[in-house]
Amino acid sequence: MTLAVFGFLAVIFALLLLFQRTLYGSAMCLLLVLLQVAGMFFAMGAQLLGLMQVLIYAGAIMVLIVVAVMAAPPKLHQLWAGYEAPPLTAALVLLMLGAELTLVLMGPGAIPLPPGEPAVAAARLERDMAALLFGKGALVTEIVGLLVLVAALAVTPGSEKGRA
Amino acid sequence: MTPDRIVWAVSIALFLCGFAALILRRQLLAMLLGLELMLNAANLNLAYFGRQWCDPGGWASVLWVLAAAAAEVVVGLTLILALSRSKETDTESLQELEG
Repeated sequence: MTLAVFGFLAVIFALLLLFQRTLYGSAMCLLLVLLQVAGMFFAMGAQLLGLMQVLIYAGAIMVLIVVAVMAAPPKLHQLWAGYEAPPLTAALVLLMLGAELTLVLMGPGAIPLPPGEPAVAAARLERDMAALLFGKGALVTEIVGLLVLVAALAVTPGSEKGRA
Repeated sequence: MTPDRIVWAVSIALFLCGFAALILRRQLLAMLLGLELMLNAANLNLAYFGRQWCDPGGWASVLWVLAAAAAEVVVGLTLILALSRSKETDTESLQELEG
């Protein structure tokens, strides 16, 4: 049931994202989709992935998009501005997020595993994932980490040149 | 409706919405948002079936995709901001390459 609630809302906000006139409206709809996906991760029993989704996607990436465009030249601004969320809509969204947080914290818990699957294997999954990330998959982990570093370094000269 | 079907339906819907945003919207930034939707649709499947088959590779892939998406947004945003200084960020006006 929890999975269906979050999934339904994710699809609704994804559709809303398509039909937003301003970029700010699209960005806010994407933020809500990301939070619903995090809720689905929690409903699946993947607490670490849910937290990472909130931290990295909804937190870091969305804030980067919002702040970067606010610091953008006027041209981008016109596309961005012009969106005022009516107080009632904002209140409803906050109410919904509060209800979802309650559902995640006090809800029925993770969805059941298929019959015959040892629950202990699922409970051990996060530890096995850590072993995979830094054991057999350490090379991929290092490459992805390097990718993030290279992306951050690649950005710096570009922004400097733009400002000169 | 079984959890499998719910996850399939949601990930297909999110992927199609992201793909539509990529195709239909003319603003580069809106296209970037569409890309994020598509990545999240893939993450949903990886996380769900990783758990259902008790395979840690699914969850590990979600974390790798998260990191790669962060790198992608950093570079994508920089290009969009650099473009918006000199030109429009509307795909209609970005027709010629300059060397």
